[in-house]
Amino acid sequence: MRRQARTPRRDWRESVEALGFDFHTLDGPYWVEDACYRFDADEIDRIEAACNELHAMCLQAVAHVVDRGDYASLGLDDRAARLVERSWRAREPALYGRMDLAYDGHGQPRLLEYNADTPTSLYEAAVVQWHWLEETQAGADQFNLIHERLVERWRQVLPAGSAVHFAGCLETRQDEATLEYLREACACAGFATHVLDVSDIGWRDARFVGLDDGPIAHLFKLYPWEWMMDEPFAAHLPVAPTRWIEPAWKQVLSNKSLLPLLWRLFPGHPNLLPASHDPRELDGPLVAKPRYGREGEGVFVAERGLAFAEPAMVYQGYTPLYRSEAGHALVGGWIVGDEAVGMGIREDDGAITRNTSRFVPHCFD
Amino acid sequence: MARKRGKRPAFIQKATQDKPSFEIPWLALGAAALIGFPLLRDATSDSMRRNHYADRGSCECDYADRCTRDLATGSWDGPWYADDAADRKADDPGEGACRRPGSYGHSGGGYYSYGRAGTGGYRGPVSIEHGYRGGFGGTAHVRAAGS
Repeated sequence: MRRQARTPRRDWRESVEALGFDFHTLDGPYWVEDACYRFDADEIDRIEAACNELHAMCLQAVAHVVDRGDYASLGLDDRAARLVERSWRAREPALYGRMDLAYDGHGQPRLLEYNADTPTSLYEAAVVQWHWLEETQAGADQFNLIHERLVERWRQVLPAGSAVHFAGCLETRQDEATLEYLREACACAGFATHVLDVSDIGWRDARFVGLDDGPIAHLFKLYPWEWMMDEPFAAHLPVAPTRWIEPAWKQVLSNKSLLPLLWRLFPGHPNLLPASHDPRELDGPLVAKPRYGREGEGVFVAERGLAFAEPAMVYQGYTPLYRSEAGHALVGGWIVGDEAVGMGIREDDGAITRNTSRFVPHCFD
Repeated sequence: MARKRGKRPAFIQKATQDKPSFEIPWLALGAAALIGFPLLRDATSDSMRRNHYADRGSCECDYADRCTRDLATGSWDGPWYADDAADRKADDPGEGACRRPGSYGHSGGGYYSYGRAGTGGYRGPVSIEHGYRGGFGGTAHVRAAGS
């Protein structure tokens, strides 16, 4: 794994904007192609194998939680627990997720968190970086079957002839683009699709309804379960016939309390870092993370550890990200269904990856 | 070990050859929302409410930065909240901070420090709209949903 400087395409802005990728520049550069990350095939194999193994372990962790009814350690209340249990026992299928990994080309990738409910940066990873590779021929290949697998997965997740509503926060451009891309992939799979803002979902005659007041049978939501559970319509979730994508059992995986659970179930696993709800159980520097923090919110590194635990915080042993003169790089491993299918690299000046962290394309030889 | 097989995904072909596909649905949806939503909203089985205010200060006394201006009517609108207090979860904005007995409303300067009901410039809502949408989405006003 190495960061390689490159000359950007002369017309890179026009090129990415032609793909509908118009948020390439946020407060600063977001899409960066004056460099790329170059891997060899063995490294890609290692990342792919780690993602597959970690995902399988995560599914075992959900089964463990449901079997034991151990929801309290995840901070899930009774209503959330019932939804998790029901959706898991009904084998409601999942669509996708992104594992954030620390990996520097040596040793094993280590799981930092699993964004299993509302992962973004999907369009950049699935389409924009592939288009970059095709135009630049920077490398022989790219770990990226995201689009193809998404289209296939929609056909596995939904009954033929289904109509799907896509709801999210349309005021946020990155969320809107992720939602629109997933809708496109679903339409490519042959389904009817409708987009609406999550605040436009209605509740009428004991069912959730769309803008035309028709029932919402299948709803993809780019909106976190934990937020939904704290909002007025949560009261209707137990009785609503709507099928949710992602399913409610993803609340176990998108919750950083998953990390101590995994460490307890698979102690010493090479793709995990020590994790606990009590920082005194960990040696050396650690990273404190809010159970439901998003985009690096509330995350901090404690170089000398911490002497006391705070509620709803998770503590994980510190491991450095890949470092270069450009900063710190995080590997995002994309899972579609139950398979690792691609990768995206995010780069930041600091050690904590945020929503403004730069997306840098990758390739391998 | 090829992860791609050199075939350009259909979506990229579509996006580059048929760029308006990104835009047309939004126009159609926007038009549907503008025309259909107000007609449908008040039809039946309302489970949500929101307050309309004559002035910004009163609205922000109740709801701080969650107020929006309705450019058509000129009113200041609070966020949707559950009609049934028993359905109000942690993030539900409720009937408004300044309307609660003994509350001083939202403070922090500017419009927010309008004073509680009956003691300052605060004036209660001029109307309360009933509807059946808005029960999800409140948290998104203060945080990003993606991860």
